Amino acid sequence: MSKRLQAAQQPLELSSLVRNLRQHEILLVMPESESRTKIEQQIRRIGFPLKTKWPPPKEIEPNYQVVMLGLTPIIENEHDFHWNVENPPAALVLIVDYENPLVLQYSLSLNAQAIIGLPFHPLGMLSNLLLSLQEYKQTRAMLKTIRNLESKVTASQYIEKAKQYISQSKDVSLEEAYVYLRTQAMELRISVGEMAKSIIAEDLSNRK
Amino acid sequence: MSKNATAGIPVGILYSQTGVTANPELTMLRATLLAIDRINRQGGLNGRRLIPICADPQSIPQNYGTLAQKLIVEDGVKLIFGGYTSSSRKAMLPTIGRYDVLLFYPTQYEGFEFAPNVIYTGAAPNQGCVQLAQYMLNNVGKRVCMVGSDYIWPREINRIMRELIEEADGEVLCEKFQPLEADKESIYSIAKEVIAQKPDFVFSNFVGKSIEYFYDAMQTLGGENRIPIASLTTTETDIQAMGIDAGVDHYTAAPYFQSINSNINKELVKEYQSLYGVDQVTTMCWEAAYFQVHLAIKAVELAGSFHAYKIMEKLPEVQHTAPQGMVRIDADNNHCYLWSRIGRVNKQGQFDILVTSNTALKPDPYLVSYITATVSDVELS
Repeated sequence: MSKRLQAAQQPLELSSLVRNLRQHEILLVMPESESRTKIEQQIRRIGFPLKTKWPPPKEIEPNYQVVMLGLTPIIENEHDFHWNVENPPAALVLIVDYENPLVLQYSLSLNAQAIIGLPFHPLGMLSNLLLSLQEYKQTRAMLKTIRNLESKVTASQYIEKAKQYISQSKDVSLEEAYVYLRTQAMELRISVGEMAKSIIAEDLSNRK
Repeated sequence: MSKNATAGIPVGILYSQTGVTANPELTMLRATLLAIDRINRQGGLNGRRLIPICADPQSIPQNYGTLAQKLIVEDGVKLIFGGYTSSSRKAMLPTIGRYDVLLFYPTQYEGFEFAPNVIYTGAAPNQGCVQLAQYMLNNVGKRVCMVGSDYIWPREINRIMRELIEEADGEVLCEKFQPLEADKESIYSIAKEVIAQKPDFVFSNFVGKSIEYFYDAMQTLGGENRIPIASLTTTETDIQAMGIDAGVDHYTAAPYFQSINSNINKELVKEYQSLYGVDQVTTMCWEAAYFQVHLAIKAVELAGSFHAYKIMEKLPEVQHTAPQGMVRIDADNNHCYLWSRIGRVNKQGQFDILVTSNTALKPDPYLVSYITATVSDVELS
């Protein structure tokens, strides 16, 4: 998909991400330092609600949209940082002092959306936070779509198998088998896919 | 090192005396010199005279950067006062950062910046734009045309204005931009389009010479039905340049107008005119350029040092009774608490002040959406 910037004479519509900037809550996980103070001040200046924690909490509460993590102290002090890379609770922005291969590997393993380098500079922070939020939200939406599609594919595979089984065992057409399947599902108030799955399971256990 | 440098304290002044923005910048230069002169007459900085070192960037942004470096390295200035356009300010950032010198920047701008070592004493959008929109929408009408010079400031301010108009169930009939250096003819054709739309008022974000052309065109082409123009940029200087007839009855929002009826203002204007001529007018840029010198020197005195971080530490504790009223720097964002006023041009080419805020408004340079701004942010008397 390609996107062209709107012609200059047309008003540029702000996305809700920009418009509602200040509704995004941020958790800063970093030990106290001059850099942390500067980062905190800039976050507050922009107007994000902010909480600061150190050492890293065992669990990230669900109210944060972005977690900003000071990476070097995690690496150096061997503090545990629990982060569900498969299903992250928020966008992750790392704050780094170095960008050597070790630090880079950590950043990649954590699947971070952005990296902010120290010494801290105010310009760029807001952009990094917004890009991270957008990336995080888009990835979540995409994953959700993929999971829906996956479950649909699986369900249709079950339905096909169950239709075959019903059609053979009851000696009806495939269309009639589907109608039977759907009626059963409606009676039990479950999806056709689930109904198909349980019929196949029954068939398998009968065969044993 | 020159004799002056050992005897006094050199301060850098960077306003263009030539080029396209020389007009407003010359008044800012003079205001700065006036402030320095006043401070010196009252004993200088702990008995040491301030030595103004001026350079002319000729309205070319890069020159502000190279001249800032020259002022710091060759002339040993401890502070810099200057800059007009956002690009001139941006050009100075690397240098003042590298040498850890403070820059006091007196022009209103579009916000969304916190550069280390910059003190912003002009208005942020939350200190004028919202108030002007509310006033016009409540008192003049809701069908609006928007025009402006084509660069980042007018585009961002128009974005905010459009949001406020639409929120108030108003209608933006058209939005037109022209390059900064647009000629009279292009501006006249914009005025023609605007008049054809029959708006209740026009929001003008023209800057420089275009202001004069536009107001003139609206008067010449508009005939009997005069369409009110509202602006954040049109000052006493522009009214003088376009002629009072073209300016009369139009609106501007600003922290300062020459017509402010206080002894401090009247005395200062009188002194200024005795130095530079009775025909000289004073503007919001002039006033910010003036009071920011006082804030800076008070903070240096309090800090007892020229180190940027020590001055920054003390700045929020300092306040100054400026011609617009009491002002001070906000510790959170290094922008300035400013008064908000709306004026309408009278037959003398001065502004009748229609509204003044109850208090100096806290700057909020990172405010995106004005719809969610609380009433207290924008309250007027």
